[in-house]
Amino acid sequence: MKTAIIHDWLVVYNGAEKVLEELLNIFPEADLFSTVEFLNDRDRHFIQNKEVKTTFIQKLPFSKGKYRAYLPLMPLAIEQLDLSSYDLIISSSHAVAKGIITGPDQIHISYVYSPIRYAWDLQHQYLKESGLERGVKSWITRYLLHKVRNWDYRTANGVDFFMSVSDFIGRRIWKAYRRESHTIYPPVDVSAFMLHEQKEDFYLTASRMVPYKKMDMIVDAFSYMPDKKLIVIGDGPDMKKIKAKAGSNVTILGYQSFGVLRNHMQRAKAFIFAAEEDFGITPLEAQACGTPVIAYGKGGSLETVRGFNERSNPTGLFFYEQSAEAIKRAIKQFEDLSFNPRDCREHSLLFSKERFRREFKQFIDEKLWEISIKKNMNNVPLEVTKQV
Amino acid sequence: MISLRTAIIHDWLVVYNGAEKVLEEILKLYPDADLFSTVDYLEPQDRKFIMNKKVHTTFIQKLPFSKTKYRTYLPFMPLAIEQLDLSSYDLIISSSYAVAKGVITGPDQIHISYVHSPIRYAWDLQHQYLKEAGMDKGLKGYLTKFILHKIRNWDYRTANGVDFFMSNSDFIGRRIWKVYHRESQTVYPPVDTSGFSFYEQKEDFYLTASRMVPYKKIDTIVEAFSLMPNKKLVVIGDGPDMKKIKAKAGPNVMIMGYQPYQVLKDHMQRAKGFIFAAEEDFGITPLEAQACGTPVIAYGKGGSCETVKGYGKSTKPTGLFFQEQTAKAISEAITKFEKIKFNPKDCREHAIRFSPERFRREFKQFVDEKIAEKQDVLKTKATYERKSIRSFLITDVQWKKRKSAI
Repeated sequence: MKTAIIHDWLVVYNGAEKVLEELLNIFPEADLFSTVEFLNDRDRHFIQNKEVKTTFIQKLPFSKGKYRAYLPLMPLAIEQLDLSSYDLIISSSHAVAKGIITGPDQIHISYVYSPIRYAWDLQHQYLKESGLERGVKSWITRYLLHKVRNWDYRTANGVDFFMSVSDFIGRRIWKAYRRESHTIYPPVDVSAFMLHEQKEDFYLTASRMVPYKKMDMIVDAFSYMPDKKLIVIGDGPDMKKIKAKAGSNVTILGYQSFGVLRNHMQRAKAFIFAAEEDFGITPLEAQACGTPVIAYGKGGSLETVRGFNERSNPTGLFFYEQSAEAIKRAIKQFEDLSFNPRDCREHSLLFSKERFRREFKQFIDEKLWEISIKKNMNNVPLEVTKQV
Repeated sequence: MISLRTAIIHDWLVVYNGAEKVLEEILKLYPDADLFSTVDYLEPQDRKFIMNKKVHTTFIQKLPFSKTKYRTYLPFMPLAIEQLDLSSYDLIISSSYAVAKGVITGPDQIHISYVHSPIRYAWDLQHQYLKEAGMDKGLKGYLTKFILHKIRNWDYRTANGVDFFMSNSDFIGRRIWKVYHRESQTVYPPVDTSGFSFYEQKEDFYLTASRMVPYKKIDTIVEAFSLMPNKKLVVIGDGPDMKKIKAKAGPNVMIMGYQPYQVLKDHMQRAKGFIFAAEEDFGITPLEAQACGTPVIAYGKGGSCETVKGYGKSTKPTGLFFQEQTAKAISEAITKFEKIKFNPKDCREHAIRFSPERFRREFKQFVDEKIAEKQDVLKTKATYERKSIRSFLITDVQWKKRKSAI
C-alpha cells in the first residue's frame, strides 16, 4: 500500500513532531510532505533523513524565519500537493495538513492535535498573546482567520477518519466540524523517566512562561503559604512578571537541562499544572517519576491524571478554577492525602510509545478492512454494509 | 453544581419587537446573564426589558452612521460576531434571526440557539426580500446578491458551533433542517394575550390588521371582498401598499389606517372572523384575535398551521384555512366560514396556552435537560477499551422531540 504522510510544517522538533516520528516508525516506506521544511541537519534523523516534498511556500522570500506569516497562503499551498498516486494518506495536523485533496478510492486518515488553534475558540487568547488585539494588522489577521474557518470546515469532508489527540480535542473536532473521532493519546517517552519513591518537601512546576500556562498564578498561591516551598523551572516572556511575584519560599531556576528537570520531577512532592491544554505531556512525565499531579480540572488533564475521589488508584488532584485561591485550597487538601508513587508510574506507562504505535496501527487496519469489505459488497443494500 | 456563567447574545438591539419579547423572557430566566449584541441603540426609556443591563457590543457600534444604517453593515456582521470573546462563560444562549448563532465557543461550553429563523433574506425568502427592498435589479442588487451568497456559506458553517437548536415553530424547524440539516426543538414564542380580553358578542364584519407590505397580501383580502359586496371588511394598519389597497377597496371595505392598541383590540373583540393571508414564520396576531374569542380565516401555510386549529382537523376548531393566496380562495373560505359555528371559548382557550409562563417553562426545561446531558458526557472518563468518541458526544439525531403542550 503506497503511503503518504503529511505534516503542517517541519521546522522544529516538538510534541507534534514526536508523533510524526512514531508515524514514520509505523510506515517507514512512506513519502513525506509538508508546506515547508527548514530542519537542521542534526534534527533530520527523526524523519529518517527522508526527502520532504514541499510547496511553493518553501521558495517564497524569508519563508525560513517568517513561514507563519504565510499562513493565509497555506490552504492554497496544501491543495497543490498531488497525492493522487498514493493509496493511504495520513495527515498529522494542527493547522492545514488535513486540507489536502484526495480521491474517492484513496483513504485519508487525519491525526488531529487540534482544529487550527488560532482560528477557533482560542482565537482571543492567541490574538492577545501575539499582541494583535488592535490596529490594522489585528484586523487583517481577524479577517484572514474568518476565511480560514470556512476553509477549515469545508476540508473536513475530505478526511475519511479522524483521530484526536484527546477526548477534549474530539469535542473540539465535533464543535468545529461535526465529525466523530477516535482518541489515540500521543506517545509519551515514559522510559526516559524513572520511578523515585523518596519525596522531598517541595512542589514543582515546569513550563514555558507564557500567559496561558498561568505560572504567575501558581507563584501567587505560594505567597499565601510561606511555609511551603515551590520550585519553578522554565523561561519565557512572562519571566519578569513571575519573578516579581515570587516570595522567599519560591525558587525560580529558569531554563534547565533535561537531567536537572528530571531530577526535580523525581524528588518533588507533587507537580503543579494550571494550564488548560489540549493534551499536556508534562503531567505524565511527572507521573512517570512517581510524582502525583495537582492540576486544573479542564481540558487534557482530566484524561491524563486520575483524580482523587473520582477514580481508583488516584494519581493526582484537581482544582476547578484558575485562581491562586483554588490552587492554595488544593494544596492544603493534597497534604492531608497520600498517593502511591507506583500508581502514578503505572498509569503513565499506559501512554507509552509502543501503545501509541499499536493503537494507531490497529485503528488503520480496522478501517482498511472495513473499506475492503464494503468494496466487495457493492450490490448489498446500504443498511447491511453499514453494520459491518 | 456551581452556577453556570451565562451569556446571552441577540443580533441587534434597536427596537422592541417580537424577537425582543422573546429576549425579555429569556432574561427573566437568567437574570444574572451578561448581554451581547452587534449594536445597541436602545433609548434609555426602552431599556427596561433588558433590565437596564450593560450591553457588550462589537466594532459595528463605532462605525459611522451605524445607528440608523446598521443594516447596511450586514456584510461585516459575521466577522463582528466572531470577535466576541465568550470564553469565560459556561452557557451561551443566542437569540438569533441573523448572525447571533455564529458566536465561537469552545469544546466544553454549551451553546444553545433559539432561532427565530435562519437569516431570512439569505435563504428561501431572498427573492421576496430583494423585491420588497427594490433590489431585484441594478448594480446594488447584484452586490447584495453576492453578499447574501457569501453569508449563506458562513451561515451554514457556523451551525456546527451550536450544540442544540430551538426553533420558534415547526415550520422554522423545517427551515433549520433544510439549511443546516440539524434537528431542533420547537418552543413557541411567548404571546402576551393578557390585554386581549374575551368577548362573545360578535358583530357582522370581518377584520384584518397588519403592516401594509406586499407579503401580507392585504390587497388580496380587499379584492376578495369586492367579490362579495354584501359582506363587510375592516382594515387596520398602514404601510407602503396603502395607496394600492385603497384603490381596490369597494364601499363594503372600511380602511382605518393606523390605529392605537385600544381601537385594534375593540375591533378584534367584535369581529366575526379575523383574516390573515401572510405566510409567516410564526405570526402573533392570529393568536391575539383568538384570545378575544375571534376565529381566524388563515392562509394554510407557515406558522398559521400551528397557531390556528383548523376546522375538520380538530375537535375544537378555532379557524379555517384557505390553500391559495388568491381573492377567489379567500372568498370561498368566507362562504364556508359562514356555515360553520365556532365556539369563542375554544379560541380563547387555545390562545392563552401560548403564554409567557409556558414559554419560560418549556425553554428552561430544554436547557436544563441539555446541560445535564452534557455534564454526563464530561464526567465519563476515557478508557482504552472504548472504540470511538461517538458515545461521548451528544448527537442530536437521537433526540426524542417533545411535543409542545399546545
